[in-house]
Amino acid sequence: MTSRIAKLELFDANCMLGRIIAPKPEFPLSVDALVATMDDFEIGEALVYHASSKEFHPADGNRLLLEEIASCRRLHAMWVVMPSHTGEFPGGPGLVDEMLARGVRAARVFPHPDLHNFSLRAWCSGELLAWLERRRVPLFVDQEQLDWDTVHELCAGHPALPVVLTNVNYRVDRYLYALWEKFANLHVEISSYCGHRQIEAAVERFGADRLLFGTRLPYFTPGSAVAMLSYAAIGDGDRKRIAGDNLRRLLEGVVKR
Amino acid sequence: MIVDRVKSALPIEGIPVFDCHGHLGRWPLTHMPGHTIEATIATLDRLGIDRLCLSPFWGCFCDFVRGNDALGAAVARYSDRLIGQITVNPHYPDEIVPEIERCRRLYGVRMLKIHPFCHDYPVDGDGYRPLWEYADQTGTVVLSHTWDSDKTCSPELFATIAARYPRARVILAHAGGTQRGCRQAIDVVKKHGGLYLDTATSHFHVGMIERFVREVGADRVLFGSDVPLLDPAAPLGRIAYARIGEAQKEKILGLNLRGLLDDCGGRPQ
Repeated sequence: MTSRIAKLELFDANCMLGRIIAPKPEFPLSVDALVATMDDFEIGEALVYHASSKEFHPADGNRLLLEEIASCRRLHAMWVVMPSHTGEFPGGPGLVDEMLARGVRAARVFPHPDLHNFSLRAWCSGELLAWLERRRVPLFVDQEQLDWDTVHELCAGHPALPVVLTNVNYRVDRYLYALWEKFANLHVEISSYCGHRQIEAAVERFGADRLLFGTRLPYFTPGSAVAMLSYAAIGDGDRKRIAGDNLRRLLEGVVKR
Repeated sequence: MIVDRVKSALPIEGIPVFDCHGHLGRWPLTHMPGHTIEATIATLDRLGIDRLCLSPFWGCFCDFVRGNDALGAAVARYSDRLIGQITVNPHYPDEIVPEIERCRRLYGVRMLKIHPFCHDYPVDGDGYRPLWEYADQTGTVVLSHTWDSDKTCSPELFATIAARYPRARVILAHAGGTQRGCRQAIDVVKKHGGLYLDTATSHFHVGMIERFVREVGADRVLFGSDVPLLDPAAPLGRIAYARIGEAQKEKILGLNLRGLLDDCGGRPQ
């Protein structure tokens, strides 16, 4: 029996690494545990950020991430970023230059008041977003971190910035389709986009380029996202794009200079 | 091996696959691109799900009579695939038993479904008493929505139901949902016979299927999907990849529910 999964070259777009505030015994938090889990599900690569970048401070977590994954070629670094007005985090061009110099080709934000507590609107994050856009560094953000009006402003104000919404739940289509009709730079990670025929409907209406496979590790089992993608009634070319090729394309599109 | 079928995107074969949690129709909160019964049946075929127990969404909201009539028509059309779950509303307590008997007479429907959250009514409130008394007298299987600490349907409330109505068989839909809700559901199922955990959820917690089996036993866990709201490939994948034995997966995927329905006369021949 031939595994369809093995042929997909899965690349996880939504994965966190490192110790967290409230773990469960089953959570794969270390590099070794994460890679073992990836092996179980035939996931070749993962784009990872560090739990300390989210739950503590990005400056410390981002440094720790690079140390921990230095010897693992299957894990690709994503930095958590924030605006630089307070001086506690590097500003636009310096930040992006440092990211790219260290091989970091993706950024993530946690603007919610319960986390890093800033606005992603232009008056607060405009400069940061402009620099990410200039270098085409994809920006990842959990859906629950933003309201939909902010997603609209983000996509409209930065049309060359690839935006990836993660943890997108199955109830969002009435917002999402309206945004997808307007913005080609808006992408969705599918670990929680689990409505019946939801992937099929999105592909039929908007094409497969806007969806990215992700797992939400260490919280969620990859088994659900893997099976949803594997069984989805879409063409194998579209399936492979969602599985990993779309994410590879976004990372390869980053402008180094 | 079940997981090999999933890895190859092939329908499960050679074992009974019974889904305890499905619906007919739409849900107001969201777009449902695969809401038709034809799309649902096609998905059952693609995944190898033999039987789907389903209730009408309409009845989970404002009109259980119209919902049950639509359910009866669907079950008649796909009698070899669908098992109906009658829905009633605790705000109409006097109509509960007559509606159940009407549906049994007209449509041969045997299972019940309640949604205390959508009806905004506590599962242990007086309005549900006719339903629970009926289920207790007849041993009927009742699927009830549950959610973490919710005032209408927290898993903890089912301790009272199980104690008062010991012959009713109650499936805790979503097993409480969140990590904390699952903890509550596990605790109540461990303490009371007649309660079962349903795998339908959009919260795909790492290791949760394994924890269900470890703490309550594979005999008390039932495959459920919430199709056509949610994609049944998701719970199928959770179960197929779980670090449990093949025999335990077979129980969860179908043997348990088939046996439960046989015990209470709920499975059409």
